[in-house]
Amino acid sequence: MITRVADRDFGTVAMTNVVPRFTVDPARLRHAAGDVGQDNNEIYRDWLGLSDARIEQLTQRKVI
Amino acid sequence: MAGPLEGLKVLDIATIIAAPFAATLLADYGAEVLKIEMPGQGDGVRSFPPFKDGKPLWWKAANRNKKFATLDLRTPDGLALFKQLLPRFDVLIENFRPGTLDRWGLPKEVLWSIQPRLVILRATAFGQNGPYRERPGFARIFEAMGGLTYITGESDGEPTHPGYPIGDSIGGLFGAVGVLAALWKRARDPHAPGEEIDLALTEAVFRLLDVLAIEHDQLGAVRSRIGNANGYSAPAAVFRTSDDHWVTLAGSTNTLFAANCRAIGRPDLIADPRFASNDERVKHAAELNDIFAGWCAAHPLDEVLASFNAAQGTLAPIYSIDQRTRKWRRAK
Repeated sequence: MITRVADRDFGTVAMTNVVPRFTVDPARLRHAAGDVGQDNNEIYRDWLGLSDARIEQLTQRKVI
Repeated sequence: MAGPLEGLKVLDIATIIAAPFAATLLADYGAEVLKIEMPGQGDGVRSFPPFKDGKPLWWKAANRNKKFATLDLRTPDGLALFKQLLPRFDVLIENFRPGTLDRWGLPKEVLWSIQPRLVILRATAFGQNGPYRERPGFARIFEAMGGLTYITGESDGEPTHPGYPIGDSIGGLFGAVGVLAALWKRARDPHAPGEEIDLALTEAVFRLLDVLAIEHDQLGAVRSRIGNANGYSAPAAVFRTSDDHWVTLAGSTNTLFAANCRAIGRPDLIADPRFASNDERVKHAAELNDIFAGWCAAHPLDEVLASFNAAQGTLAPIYSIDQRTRKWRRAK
């Protein structure tokens, strides 16, 4: 019911587990919520193919 | 057109409120739901008050949009008829004690041999496994052991259940969500096997109380009751109007605070250093709540609402069902 889960700040933290439980294909809690924009590189570089320079520029302009 | 779940077929052999509510939600969204009841007596909710002319009103709402048939699964003929029905269905919803269907000759292997893609939702108080698996449950047990009751009520009063068996409704919601999640897998992969969903209704309530576990784990704090304060913003309370109606006020940002101050004709509060930020306002919550309570007590509901609407404040009327219904008729 309560499980420990990875967290960037505190190593692991406790929270309620996934409800309901799926017997055949169990779902699991993967990680706690993260920092503002922590996955920007993955989304804009890897998914959308933006260059590092473009990402830097968008960051400077506070678009992302 | 009947809704996005048109064509989905759900067999509801569950009883009382929580698990059948999961099926009712699916029916709302367009699924064809067949409810099976014991011959003669029917579901227990048929004898729940209130009644009109001897007819149960809650029942009519709780199981709307369904078809109704009777069948005693514990008889050989009943079991045979059930097996004849099952291939037509995508979802089976049951809430017997764990192992009951197995004992009646319907373990999941048998169910899946008849309908390999069947999504089985099993709703119980404490889940299919563990030391409490045999224990029965109802809404108040889910609310109490799920942690909701302890944090509800006045700080110096007793723990309080909600005014409605919301523990059942919460469980039903998680049941419907679980079924829909399992159906996504079936939709994505035509060869996906069925799923068995173990829904512990007590866990469903606890799942809603997101912050409790991490707060206790990281800070050692045991959250308790705070009445109608909310602990994270001020002013935040329930106030009585001069004509004996009730309103609730909340809102954490400076912009909203300013709007609420203007609504009660006190723009001077906006610049008061004691109320300069949400943090400061929470520290002085009692003073702020007293000011707003005093203003509301001096004005009738209509004036209170008009004033907050004009100032774009964040106050809401606390409706009784007759107020709610009148409002709905007017809006129509």
